[in-house]
Amino acid sequence: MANILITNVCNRSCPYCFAKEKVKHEQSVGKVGSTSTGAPPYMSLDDFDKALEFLKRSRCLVISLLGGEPTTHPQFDKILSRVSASGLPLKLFSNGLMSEDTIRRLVEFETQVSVIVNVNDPASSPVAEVAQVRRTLAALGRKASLSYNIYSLDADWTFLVGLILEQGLERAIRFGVAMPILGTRNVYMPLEHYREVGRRLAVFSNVCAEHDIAARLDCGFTACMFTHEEMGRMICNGTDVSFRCAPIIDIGTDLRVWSCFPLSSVANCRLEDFKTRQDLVDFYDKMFGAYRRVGSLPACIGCPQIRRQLCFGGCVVHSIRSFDQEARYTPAAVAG
Amino acid sequence: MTDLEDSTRIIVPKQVVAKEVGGEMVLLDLERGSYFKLNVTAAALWRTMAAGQTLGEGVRQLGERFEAPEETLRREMALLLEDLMKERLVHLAPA
Repeated sequence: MANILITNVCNRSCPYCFAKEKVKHEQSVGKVGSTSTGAPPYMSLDDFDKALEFLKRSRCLVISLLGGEPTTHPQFDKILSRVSASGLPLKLFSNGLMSEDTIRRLVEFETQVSVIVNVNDPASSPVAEVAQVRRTLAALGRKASLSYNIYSLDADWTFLVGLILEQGLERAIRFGVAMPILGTRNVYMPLEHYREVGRRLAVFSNVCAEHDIAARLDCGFTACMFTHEEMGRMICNGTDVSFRCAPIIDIGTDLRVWSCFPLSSVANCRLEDFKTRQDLVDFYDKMFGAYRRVGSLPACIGCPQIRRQLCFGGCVVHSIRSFDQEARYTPAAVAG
Repeated sequence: MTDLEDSTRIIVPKQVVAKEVGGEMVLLDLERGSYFKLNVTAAALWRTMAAGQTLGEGVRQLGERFEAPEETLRREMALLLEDLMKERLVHLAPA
């Protein structure tokens, strides 16, 4: 899968935002200008067609759109029409803060669509925002599933179950762990808290199982976050347990591409210089793959899970920082 | 065994990065994707030479720290450098 970032404008400001390097928030850009990277706020339809063609050429089986908040794109409707014409299913990553017209369009969308709505803890979100997200979820129903980024040990995740049951959503939750972004300072979950996150996830998987909700771990988790007993319990509870870290390939609004959001500030390339997604994966794997063989933690060295490549010791940025190599990949160092 | 002079210095190639893990040292070759773990003594040898010291300076410094005969240390250092050169983790600096 590769993601098309159709806009770098976002109408929400999350402390852990993993797209921070690429995204500008509406209030900070005023009438919406380009980001510090010089990329335009919205992808043009011509460039979208090029990105779409690239995905088809790469035999991608789904069109994955994200941002920023993708529904803020002024030509979002036309983009949906192009997706529909492609015949491929749509995966839309949204924060749920979208207009009534957009919701209606998605509900009536003729192609298979799955809206992954990233929600934050309602206790620490503005009331109006929480209400708007609930309206979106209620309208989308089973077309929507939830995504939650773990960035603090304080949050109570049971609200996720409540949202799914009350709004009749798809019974699935994607859990991400907030990751560091190379070259930028964002709020992320420190490695020393991973064990506690693992313990909580294992307990929460019992709650999910009671309601037939399938939890899924996104990239960046580590096997040693869990005891064997916890991992077994999670698998029995239907949790999709994996410990990946690999190039995703994100396509920016100006057709610049990068490996994944934690590495979005470095080694940006031009889409047209690569024939397929696999060529890009190979390119980034050659650049950063070695770090994945040693992981981030002292215990990763010699760990059988790492050796068998069943775990990559968390996000590669943790590993780069553990070698104190962040400066090697800053734009100035790369240019030099 | 490699015949090394006291004035020998090493160069760590740009693609080799290192980190300390509990007194030991992990060397990672970013191009080949391979890594090597040095025990505490080898890590100490590595640190002296990677910091730019000559073999002779390193041997003297480690001799004080480990209270070991210089000849033993010189031999250990030469064996380590031989292994590291074989794995292309270091080059000998031109004299």
